[in-house]
Amino acid sequence: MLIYKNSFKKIKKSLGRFISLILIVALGSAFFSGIREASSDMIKTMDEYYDNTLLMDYKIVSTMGLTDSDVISIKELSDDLIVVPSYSFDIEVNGEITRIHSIEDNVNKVNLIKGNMPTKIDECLVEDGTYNIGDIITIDDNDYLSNNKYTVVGTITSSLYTYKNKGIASAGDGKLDTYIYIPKDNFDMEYYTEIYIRDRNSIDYVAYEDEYLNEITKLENKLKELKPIRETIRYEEILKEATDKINEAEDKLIKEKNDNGKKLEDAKNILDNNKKTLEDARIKWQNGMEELEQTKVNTERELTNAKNELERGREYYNNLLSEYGIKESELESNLNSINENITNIQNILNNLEEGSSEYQQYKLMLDTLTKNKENIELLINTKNELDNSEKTIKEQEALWNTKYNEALKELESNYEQILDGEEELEEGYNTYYDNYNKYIEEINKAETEIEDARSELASIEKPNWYLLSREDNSGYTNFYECATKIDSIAAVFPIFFMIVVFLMSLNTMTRMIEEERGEIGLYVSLGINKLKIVSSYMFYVLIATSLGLIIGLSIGYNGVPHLLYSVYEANFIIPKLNTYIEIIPCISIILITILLMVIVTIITINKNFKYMPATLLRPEAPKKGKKVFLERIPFIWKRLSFTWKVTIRNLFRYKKRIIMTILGISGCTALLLTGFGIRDSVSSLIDIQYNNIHKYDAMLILKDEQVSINNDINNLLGEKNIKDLLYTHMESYTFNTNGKKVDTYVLAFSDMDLLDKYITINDLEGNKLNLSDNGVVITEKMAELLDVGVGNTIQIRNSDNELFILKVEGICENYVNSYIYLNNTYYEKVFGEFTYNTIITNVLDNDYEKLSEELIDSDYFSSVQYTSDSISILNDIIEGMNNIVYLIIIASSLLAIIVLYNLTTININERVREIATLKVLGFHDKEVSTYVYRETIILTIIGIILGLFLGITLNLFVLTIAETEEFLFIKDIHLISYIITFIIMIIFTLVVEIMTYFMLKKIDMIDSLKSVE
Amino acid sequence: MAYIEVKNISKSYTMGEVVIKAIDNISFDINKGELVVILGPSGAGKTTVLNILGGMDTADKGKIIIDGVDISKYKKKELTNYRRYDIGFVFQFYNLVGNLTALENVSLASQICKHPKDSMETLKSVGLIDRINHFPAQLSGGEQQRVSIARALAKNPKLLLCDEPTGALDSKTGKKVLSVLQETCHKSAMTTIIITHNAIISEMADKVIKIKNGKVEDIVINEKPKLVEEIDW
Repeated sequence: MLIYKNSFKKIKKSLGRFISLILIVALGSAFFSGIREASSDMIKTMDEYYDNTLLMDYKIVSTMGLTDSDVISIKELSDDLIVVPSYSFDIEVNGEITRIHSIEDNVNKVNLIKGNMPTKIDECLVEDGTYNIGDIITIDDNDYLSNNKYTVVGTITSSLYTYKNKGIASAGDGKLDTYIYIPKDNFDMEYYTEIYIRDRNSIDYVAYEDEYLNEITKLENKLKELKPIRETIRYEEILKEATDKINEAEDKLIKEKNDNGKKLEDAKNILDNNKKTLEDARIKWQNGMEELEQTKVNTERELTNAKNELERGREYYNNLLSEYGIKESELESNLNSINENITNIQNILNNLEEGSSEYQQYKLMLDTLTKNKENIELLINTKNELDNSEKTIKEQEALWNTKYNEALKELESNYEQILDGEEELEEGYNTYYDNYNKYIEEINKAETEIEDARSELASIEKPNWYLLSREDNSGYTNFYECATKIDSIAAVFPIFFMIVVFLMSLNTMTRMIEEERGEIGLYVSLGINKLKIVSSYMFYVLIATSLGLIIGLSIGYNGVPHLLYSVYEANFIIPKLNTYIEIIPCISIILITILLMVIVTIITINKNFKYMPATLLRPEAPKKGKKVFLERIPFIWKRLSFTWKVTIRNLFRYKKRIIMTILGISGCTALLLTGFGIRDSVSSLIDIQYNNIHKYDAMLILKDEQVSINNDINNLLGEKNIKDLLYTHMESYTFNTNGKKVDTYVLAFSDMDLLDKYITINDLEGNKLNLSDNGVVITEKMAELLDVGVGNTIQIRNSDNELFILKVEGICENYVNSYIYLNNTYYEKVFGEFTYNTIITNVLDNDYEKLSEELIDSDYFSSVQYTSDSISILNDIIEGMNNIVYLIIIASSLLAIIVLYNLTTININERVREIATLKVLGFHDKEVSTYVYRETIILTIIGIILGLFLGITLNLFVLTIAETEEFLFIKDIHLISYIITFIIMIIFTLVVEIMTYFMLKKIDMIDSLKSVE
Repeated sequence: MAYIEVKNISKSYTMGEVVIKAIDNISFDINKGELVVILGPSGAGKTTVLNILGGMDTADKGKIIIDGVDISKYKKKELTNYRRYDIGFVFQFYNLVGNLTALENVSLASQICKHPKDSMETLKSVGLIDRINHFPAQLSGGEQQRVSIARALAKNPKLLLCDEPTGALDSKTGKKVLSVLQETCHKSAMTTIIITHNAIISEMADKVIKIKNGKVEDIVINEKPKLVEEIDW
């Protein structure tokens, strides 16, 4: 047991060595375990988050919405599926583009940060950091919700939104700003907007890992099979719905035509009849009038004639009167007198004899009187006649007048009736025409509607189901991207690191055992079992290793992952990191480390067991000095001082130590340079890609494909000061490489001058490439993945899996994503009609959000993609990569210091006697240290230079491993990185030398001269 | 006045809580060109005396005057220069630089001195003229020790200090080494101090200082020192 006690003494005696051994193991295991663990911890943390929040495995959205029968049919796929139909829509709320989600219990559970879950229908949950609890949010202007006002009762995070960019929105500027969760009952929609699917088994697998992907692929295949079926069913459903609607409308139209049309027609007939009647009446009236007038004229003429005759009678009578000289009033009296005369005469006559002269006289008298009497009687008759006639005329006239007036009155009243009738008729007609027009209008409208519905029906496209897995969630994938970037970069480092650590511990142990060969010899000569001797050293080593592992693993498992994770916490909305200790890797690290140390110990001790104890007890014979080739050149050799000679001979003599030193230092240098190299590579990537190659600010995605340049669009953009529009056809295709589908973008142009302004298409030597009519230019990484050169053909497929074969005419410089550039002529040769769907341009205005919103509102554009957004996403990834680079740089620096310290102390320890001798000989401290350090410095410089070359290779190797399909790393290391690495290493060397200078000074001449170590 | 005067020097070491008096009030004189043997058993303090004389250690008390200069108050740097210019050392384990040839080992020391002797000459004087281009590993122990002597002599020191120079050698080789020392001492009047626990060696000395328990026990002056060859081992 004393032998083990001795081990503790050894620790005390060589504390520096012991500590450096611990540090080497600690550093190695910390770095190894930490970097190994970081990405796995990150992924597990996220997996736990996904599991706890029941993150969906699949999401189905459809262009036509989803129904309960869709849900049922998905459920029927497997008993393991949890199928949750859900609602969401995008809307601007308080200026933020917000997605309104329904709260679900069985999928995508929210992660409550503050407050409570809603208990009432008008309560909501908001993204943590947006609204405060108690705020009232109004969601206006939508047809989807039955309630518009919501009180915030809790703030949340969601595993659906883990990335700071939440994705594309269908409102506003097309960028989703935040989200609100409200109780499901608020949604008043005819169909579901999405169906979430969870596979009960998937929770058993770690997200992102192959088992998970396999499980999910099984689901995906089933869903893919279901997709066309449900699409058709839904299509038919919608078609039927639409057709039914049209039929219904048509029936209604026909009924309308039948009912109202008939009514209108009847009304019209009545009106027309009335009109006819009225017209007849009017004619009758007219005729009556005319007849009356005619009668009037005739009658009046008759009357006038009668009057005239009467007048003439009167005139004649009057003439007779005047002829007879009688006054009308005397007629009667005349007559009477005549009559009397006659009677008298007669009487006389009667008395007179006939023929008497008297008689004859009287007879003549009588004749005259009788004649007079006749005349007067005539006159009286005439007068009576005239008077009678006048009376008759007057009677007739009066009769006529009465008759006429009566007739006229009647006619007038008839006329009035006609007028009233006509007025009424006109009103009737007006009403009728109004109604008729209305009717026609309605019919037309209905007919147009039906027509529209018909054409709409014709244009109803089959609904499209989109199967979206977690992979389609930007947070989910970007996180993985970031986590695996650490992994890929870190992959080779720990191994390299462990090699250096192994070499260093080998070196340290060798030295230790050489120093203690005497002691070993003593043990051997005392007859102590070899195993015991070995185990005593093993004991020492294992204590150091264990302590180193404890320190290293605790830093590795706790510190490193947190450090790396902290970068991502800035860009992701993610839970706190959980650190896991994976038993198998952890134990294997421990076992490997211990095994390595045990091997080192056994190797070194065994070498000593070959000698006899006596030999061991004696000092190790000085190694044979040897002449070096330089001595054959006396010209140089003679000029060298002795210390230089020693240095040079030493360099050639202690080969093992020199190799160790050079390897150690060059290893550290290579690690450092690679660290800087990765930083150079990733940081210049963005700069070159987006300043030198893709120089445009934005891609404006057109809503509808344009066959030619559209002036309305030009004007619209011109108003916004956006000019020089590069009209482009852009489409996403895929190509296969190593059994993997890789996305590529086909960009076809017609305007080559503007193309130069926005995209640099240079070959790898930097010469400009022109797009020809016979082929395409593809990007470097794509050519590399497909292993093609100029003149070869490539195969790409579109989203419908259609195959296109393109001829490669050039390969151009490009670092992010893969592109295929071609002109419109070749495009038409391969793909068919050339249309524009994208405008590439520069944007002077800085308010991108406003611009996007305006452009999308204009209805010409469906979205706007800004280069700055791509840069910021890349920056997030690169920031994470940079952090690991810093970790590598720090760890490499620490390793470099330990290596240098170790090598220098070993060098000093090995040569203590030599140094003491020099001191005794009267060498000054400065001379002594120069003598010792010269070697170290030369070796360091050789190591650094070698390391720089090694670093170039390592950098290339690491970057090649870290490279994914979407990146082509720039593998050139900047000159400044070489210089910095060189300077850092030199500084470390100097620091270590300053540290060890005091060690040199402390070397006790007396002790070292006497004893043999 | 003697060439070297050691007056009442004492030195003690503290080992933990124990104070060990290595030497206690030692005084002696040595004349120029004398071959002195400091004789004593292990742990008597003779090496401490040598260390103090050689400027590798300082005395707590007392004076050491060498060629009229008191070195006891020297600072570290002065001591280094003292070792550099005035002292030649011969060690028990030779302490040659393994990576330098015999000649180079000698030159390594001489190049830093003000008035060095010719390296070749010194090697010739120790009888190794045909071994000058050999590396230490190619030389026997005796030869290595002779190179070591040559290295000390080439510095042309005021004092040659030898610490058990034959300690690691067999008697025959040891004798050869000692005779070289005796010869150079006598020939070039080099003041030489040899430390040994071997009483026989004291026969060759002009003066023998016997030390025991850190004190000078006796100082014997050999009127007729024996040549090394005459000493019976």
